[in-house]
Amino acid sequence: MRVMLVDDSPETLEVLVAQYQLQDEVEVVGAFSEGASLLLALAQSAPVDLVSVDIQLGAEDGFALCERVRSRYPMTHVVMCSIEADEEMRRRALRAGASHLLAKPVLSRELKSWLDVMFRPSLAGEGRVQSGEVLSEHELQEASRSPQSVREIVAWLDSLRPDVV
Amino acid sequence: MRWRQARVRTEPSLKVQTTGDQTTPAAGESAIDRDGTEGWQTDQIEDGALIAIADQLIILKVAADAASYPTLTMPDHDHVRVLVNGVRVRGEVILRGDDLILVETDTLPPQAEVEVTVSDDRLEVRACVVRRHGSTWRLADAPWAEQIVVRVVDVQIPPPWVSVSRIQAAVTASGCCGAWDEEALSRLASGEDAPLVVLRGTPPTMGVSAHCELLALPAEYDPLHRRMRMNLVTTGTIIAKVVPAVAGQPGSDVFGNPLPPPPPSPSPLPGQGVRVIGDRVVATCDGRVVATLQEIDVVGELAIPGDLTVQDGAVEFPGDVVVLGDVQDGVMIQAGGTITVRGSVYGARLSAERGIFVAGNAVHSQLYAGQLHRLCLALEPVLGSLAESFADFRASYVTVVETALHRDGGSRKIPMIASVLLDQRYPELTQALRSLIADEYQPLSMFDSHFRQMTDEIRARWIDLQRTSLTLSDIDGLRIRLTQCRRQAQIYLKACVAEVCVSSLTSSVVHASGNVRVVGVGVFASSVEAGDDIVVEGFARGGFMSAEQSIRAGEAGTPLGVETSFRVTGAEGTIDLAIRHPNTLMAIAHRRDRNLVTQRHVHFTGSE
Repeated sequence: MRVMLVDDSPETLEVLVAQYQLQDEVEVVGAFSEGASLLLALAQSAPVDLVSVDIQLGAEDGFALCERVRSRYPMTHVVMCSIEADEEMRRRALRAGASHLLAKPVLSRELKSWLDVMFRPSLAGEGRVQSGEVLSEHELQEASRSPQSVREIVAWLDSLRPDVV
Repeated sequence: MRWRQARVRTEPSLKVQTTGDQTTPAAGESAIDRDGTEGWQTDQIEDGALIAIADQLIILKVAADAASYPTLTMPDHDHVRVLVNGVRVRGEVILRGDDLILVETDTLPPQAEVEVTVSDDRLEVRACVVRRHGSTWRLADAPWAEQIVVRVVDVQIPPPWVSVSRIQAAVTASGCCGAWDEEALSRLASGEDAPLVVLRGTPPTMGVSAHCELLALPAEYDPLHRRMRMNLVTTGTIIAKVVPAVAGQPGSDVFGNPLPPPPPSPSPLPGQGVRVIGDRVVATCDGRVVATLQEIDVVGELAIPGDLTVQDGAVEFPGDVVVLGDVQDGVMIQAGGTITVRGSVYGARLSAERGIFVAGNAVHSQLYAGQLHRLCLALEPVLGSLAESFADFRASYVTVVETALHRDGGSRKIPMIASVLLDQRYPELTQALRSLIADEYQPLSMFDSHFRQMTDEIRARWIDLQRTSLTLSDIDGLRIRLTQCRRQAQIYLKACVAEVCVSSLTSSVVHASGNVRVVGVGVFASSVEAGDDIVVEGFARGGFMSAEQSIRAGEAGTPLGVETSFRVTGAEGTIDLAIRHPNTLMAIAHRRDRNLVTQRHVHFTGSE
């Protein structure tokens, strides 16, 4: 899985890169402090599976950046990452096309759980979540609450099968 | 409520007829004579005079040609009522000579009740004597006057005393029996109003399970951990003696019901690297004696005299690893015990089940302490759920096999039945079995033989083509392995959590099932996750810190607003920061707070 990240805080960016790199089958192919650099890298590189976008990106608007990424690269998932992570932010992130909103500080087990649901075919089930699909808000909330066990994630996905967009 | 009535009829001779109770005037009231004849010069009394005496209102000398009539002003009082000719009066009333005045006063009697409560464990009975003063309301005496404003006096009546026998009767009436506390009874009877334990049942006594008692072994001072540590022992050393179990004694509660003795508290049992011979525990390998609440182990120790570099290769050791120098870039250490580094750690990955202690700094490194504990936290529910699915799968298998045996040629298909069932009806079971052999559980395979045997069996018999010839004995065999692994995972979960202690952290990732302590300069741009608490003596600048119970840090963030996040997942947790610079997030449960100005001595909890 190829991942790019953008966050205006260099310390946070460093920690996020470390957390993604520690996940199985994840390759961080770019980490940027501004949206323009991210868009340039996306245009010049091979397809990227996931982009992590900070909502408060200095003077830039993370939601707008998310919309641009999603409109140009519909097969690329966007996960937004923010210190402000209330329900309103979550709704705005989903409206902007993000697949999920991760609240800072990001726990490694939360990141793993979400990546398992979204990207690991052996755990998510055959054809359950295809690239470019977006889970509904309810499903994402359920996913964020679901325990870490692989078995329960599988069971959860099974129960939600009819609602997958 | 007792009523007292005084009925008064006026007489020119001042003779008064009364009905109802006559009460003695309270102290401080007027000493006016009850019949009103003595001590008064009636000649001096003006026309239309009125007197209040002994809860009576008496009218005197209202002649037909009187120049004025007496007046009475009666307040609206709940407990004293004045009736003139049968009609209750309030406010100012003009009285005539033939008016019949009736005074009604209330009395609230005093009370003393015994309240009895039984403790939750039904081993104690508390009694409390609730006393309440009574009250009686009286008319204040007033001398002869043309106008009287009635004043009501509230006279307190002290509560009665309660005897020891009455307290005992109240307790016995609630069905309780046991040993009386005579001192408490006499204190209650003498007026103490606090609840006191007056009766006790017989508590059961806890037994002692069979356990190991460590012998006194030579110890040496460990400067890094700042404590004494037992010396290395050699194979054959007697390290502990076995103490047999002692049964507990049953008791009885205050209702006379028997109470079974509680289960004995967990005691250390022989663990790894030891063997019980007779009533002695003997070391079966050279190493350190490690005693926890659960086990007494002898853990081998690997000491590396200088720096550890990538040229030394990955270190995997079931016991403790001690590096007297630095751990250099690219090194990986996996230890079943603890990892102690006397120097610093640079760009390395350290994983230890009992704790990681670094005297120096950790830079661009990953430190994992108690990974088995973390893995078992995720694994145990998986195994529990898998056991249920597996029982269902086995039942289906038996049914289908029995059906096949009654069909022509069905017996030839029996070897395929398990595989088809897994594909068609239990795909999630296959996925769950696959998940058990995923890379994330490999540390378990390394240190736990039950898990290793189970995953080997899954690989050999239950994945892909190998499963085409599964039999009932294979199914039962794996079922037993799953149960064993689940039991072992539960043991790991009960084991002590592992902590990380380091001087400082820079651009590193730290996970600990217990505490994380950073005792030096601080934490910089790092991700720290702790199962219990995080304590940072110095700075915490940039990055994420998450703990289950609490976080304490000296100075969080920077004056320039470097983004720094703290999170406590337990709702009852706390975050304490001596200095909190701008742009520092604190989150506990669902409560989140980010500041814009510097704050000092911040104490943050999950509630508003």
